[in-house]
Amino acid sequence: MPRLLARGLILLVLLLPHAPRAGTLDRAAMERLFPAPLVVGEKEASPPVWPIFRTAMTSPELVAYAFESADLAPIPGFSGVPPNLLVALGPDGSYLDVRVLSHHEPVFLEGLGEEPLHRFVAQYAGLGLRQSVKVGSATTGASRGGSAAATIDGVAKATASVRIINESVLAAALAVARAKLGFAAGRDPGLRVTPREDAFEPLPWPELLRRGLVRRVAPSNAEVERGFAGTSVAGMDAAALAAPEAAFAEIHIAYLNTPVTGRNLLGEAGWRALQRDLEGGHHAILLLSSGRWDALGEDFVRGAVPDRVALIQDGLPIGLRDIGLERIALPPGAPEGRATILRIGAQAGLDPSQPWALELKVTRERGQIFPERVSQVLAAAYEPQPGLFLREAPDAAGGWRALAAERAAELGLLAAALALLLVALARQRWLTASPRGFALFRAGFLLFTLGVIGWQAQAQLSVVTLAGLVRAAAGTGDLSFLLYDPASLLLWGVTLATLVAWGRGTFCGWLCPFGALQELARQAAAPLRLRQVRVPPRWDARLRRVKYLALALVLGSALLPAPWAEAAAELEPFKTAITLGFDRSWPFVLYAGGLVVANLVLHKAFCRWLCPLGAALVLGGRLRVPDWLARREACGSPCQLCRVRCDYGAIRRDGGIDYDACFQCMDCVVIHNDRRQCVPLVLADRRAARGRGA
Amino acid sequence: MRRRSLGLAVGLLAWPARAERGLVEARRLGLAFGTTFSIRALHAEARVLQAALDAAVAELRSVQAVLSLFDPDSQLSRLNREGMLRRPDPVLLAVLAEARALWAATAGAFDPTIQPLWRLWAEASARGARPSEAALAEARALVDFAAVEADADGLRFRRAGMGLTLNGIAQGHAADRVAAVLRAAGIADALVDAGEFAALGRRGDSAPWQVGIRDPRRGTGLVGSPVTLEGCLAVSGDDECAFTADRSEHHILDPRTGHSPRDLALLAVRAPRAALADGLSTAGFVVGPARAEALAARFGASVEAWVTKDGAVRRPG
Repeated sequence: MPRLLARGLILLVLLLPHAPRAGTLDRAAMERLFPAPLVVGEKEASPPVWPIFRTAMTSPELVAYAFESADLAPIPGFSGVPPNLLVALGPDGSYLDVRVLSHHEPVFLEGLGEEPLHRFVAQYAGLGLRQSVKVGSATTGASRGGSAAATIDGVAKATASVRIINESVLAAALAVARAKLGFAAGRDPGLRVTPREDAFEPLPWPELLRRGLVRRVAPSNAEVERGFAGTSVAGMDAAALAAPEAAFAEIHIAYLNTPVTGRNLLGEAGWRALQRDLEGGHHAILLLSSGRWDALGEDFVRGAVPDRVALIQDGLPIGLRDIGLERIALPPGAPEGRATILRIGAQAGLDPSQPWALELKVTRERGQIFPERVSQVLAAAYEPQPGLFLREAPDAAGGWRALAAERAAELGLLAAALALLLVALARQRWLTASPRGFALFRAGFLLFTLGVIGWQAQAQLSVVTLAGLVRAAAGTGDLSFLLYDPASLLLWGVTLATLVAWGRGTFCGWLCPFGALQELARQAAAPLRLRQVRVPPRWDARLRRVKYLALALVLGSALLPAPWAEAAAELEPFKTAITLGFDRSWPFVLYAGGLVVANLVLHKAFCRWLCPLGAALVLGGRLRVPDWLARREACGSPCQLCRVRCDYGAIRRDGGIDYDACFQCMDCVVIHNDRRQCVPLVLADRRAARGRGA
Repeated sequence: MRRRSLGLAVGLLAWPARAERGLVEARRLGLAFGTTFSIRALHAEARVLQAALDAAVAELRSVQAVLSLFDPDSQLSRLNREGMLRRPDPVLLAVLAEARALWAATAGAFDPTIQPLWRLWAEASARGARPSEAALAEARALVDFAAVEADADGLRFRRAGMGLTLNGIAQGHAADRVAAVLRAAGIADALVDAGEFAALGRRGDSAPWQVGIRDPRRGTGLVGSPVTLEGCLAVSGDDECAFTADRSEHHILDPRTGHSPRDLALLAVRAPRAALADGLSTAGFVVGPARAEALAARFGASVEAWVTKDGAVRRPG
């Protein structure tokens, strides 16, 4: 029957339509979300965004682009369904609002509730696309490494889910920004660009100039005069007319964050002081103004935003502010003049590895009382040297890599323990040589499974993952959500491998935290000497089939709307017992706790008869090849010791092991190797003793 | 170069207008041609009104699909990319015909083939620089409306590297077509702002539609008193899309020099059709105010107002 069920399920998966991904909000819903004085404009087709206007003086002003993340970046979450977030992006790339429209993340639906999720998305307001928004772990919280990155607090126990949500928001917003806000196509605003610390050599001023690390711009009087030609201020500058070829201004600019410019220009002390000032990822530019025209102007105040100077990159202005140093000592060879260091905030989105330009405004005034002002702009372009910067891929794209790195220690511990188990089980003879030693090993490992694999690493495998796989495969086909929980992925890998080699028992008997909980509860309750309820084989066989029904229910409901899937998944007590540590509403605690208590008299009743994951593993275990647990010819004919002792009823009358039901507790192997217990061995010893004796 | 979407003309009306004549008023806002559009209409029945507005928005989108330079898939964008276009849309042909008439009337001062110049300025200004005179001369060599061929096969550029921009006339044409669709749907009173204005009938309170022209130097103030609009109004200005910070070089370029005209900051033209008003305001900007008045008169239009670079405002008539 299980085979029939399996085939039926596969058919179901292929025939049912894929999960819908289209945007869900219509005009009425949008108008409710953006009420007066805002006006919802006509929805654009590609990308699918709603322009939101405010009518100011009846001339409409575009205030935001509103869109659903599922339309632009459907990244499946743990349930296999992508979360859908409403994002309102301002025309300057800032997040105005992020709201959750729908999600099916198990951890928020029942466990933690919706409140932490809403608090999480509320953090976006005020941040911008020019900052790469990263999710800090709930424990560290604070920004790691600063730079043009803003870190928002994660949610404990839901790290993977909120990272997927962050990625969805960022990816969708970037797609809109590229289409609507003119973000340079090649430039990813989330990219972290940092100067390389090791690219330094001492260079004198002429060499810095020659290599383009310091750039000199010296427009002539004639050039500037041409710029004013035809205006009312033409010809006002007598000195310029007298010496047209002479320099009107001499400007030197340099980007200071790279050591090869900063250290060479400012000296050791100055460089160190600058680095302190720039902590947090800010940038600095040197501006040296010699010649007739002063780029700063007489009324310039230290520490202020300069009037005549602007910085442009990609056609977009980037804010500057004087850093406020009184004196800047430049190396010999630099011309005399006024030097200033201008600071650019980390948040401004400057990419120092791309060209930028300083725009210098030259203004002439005519008239005394109400002077007429005419300006022109001189541009000083700066081309950064290649090889001076490190460009790091945004954290979001390699999000799961970062996650794995963070949990490296934990993953290492898990991997070591799993390796130990695999070695131990492979060498069953050695493992079971001493019954007491084995009992200690088993108890110890089960404690590790419950405490570390279960409660600490939260790597309890669950049929929900299988359901999510079904959903994702039927929908977007994107299975990358699995990468967001590396510990579980590791467990799955080992489980599947041992499934094929040894059957379901490796996971069910050793790696399932809930199973370990039940076993340990039994061992703790042993002194109570509770009467065990032994189920007759016929009933056992019938009850075993119940778990296949449970599996069909869970996987089938994965193709229905999410609330059904979530309800079906509650057949598993794992969320209550392991994920939330019994911290949940009483019906769920009653169910999970009740199963553990029932297990005290009905050994691992849930595991043998009800667990949908167990059912799936049994089906998978049919692929197993070797009958690997040690048996003798005498087993079953006529010795029935192991069969009687087996707590799981997994040994048949003929002595063969039913691997579908075997939980690899190794009791029968212990007996098999114990000369004092295994009946054929005992008999053989007695015969030998009698042979030797009188 | 990102074109900033600043409408120069402001629809100055009491909002919400009291619909005294027993009319319902409705409005649609959105984005088209790189700027915001607004279509306001009145009708006795809400159902008819909404259907008409739906048709109007659809018409605007379809014109955009042919004429918009901002849409990489539009017929115009394809023509510019490939240098030729088979089976051009009648809308495109109609606009080109109108452009040709203006080109002839202004002896080349209005020339939609300035796209190579525009590209040069956009690319240079993104670097914070200006194009060299040599580069400008090279680009000017590609500016020649006579080198655009239209025949049974389609449209073709005779020289490689040529490009068309219909920004000086497309928004007006779009406004005309939207107005036509509204009229066909039974709407007698509407104000269409597709970047340029087309007015039908009157406001809800029976007063004529009024439009204010925003002062190009002071973002919020208006130039003089509002313009009473019966017919169409188009405004060209230097602050819509400037290549230099002081706005001496902007999106309206003199095809003969490669630079923007020096005298004007703004020119507003009133005409019976919006496409005509749009083209005349662009052409008039290039030829200067005096000649613009004569030019407009030839087409049955009139210059409403202009503002010089040093801030002087003139409202002829």
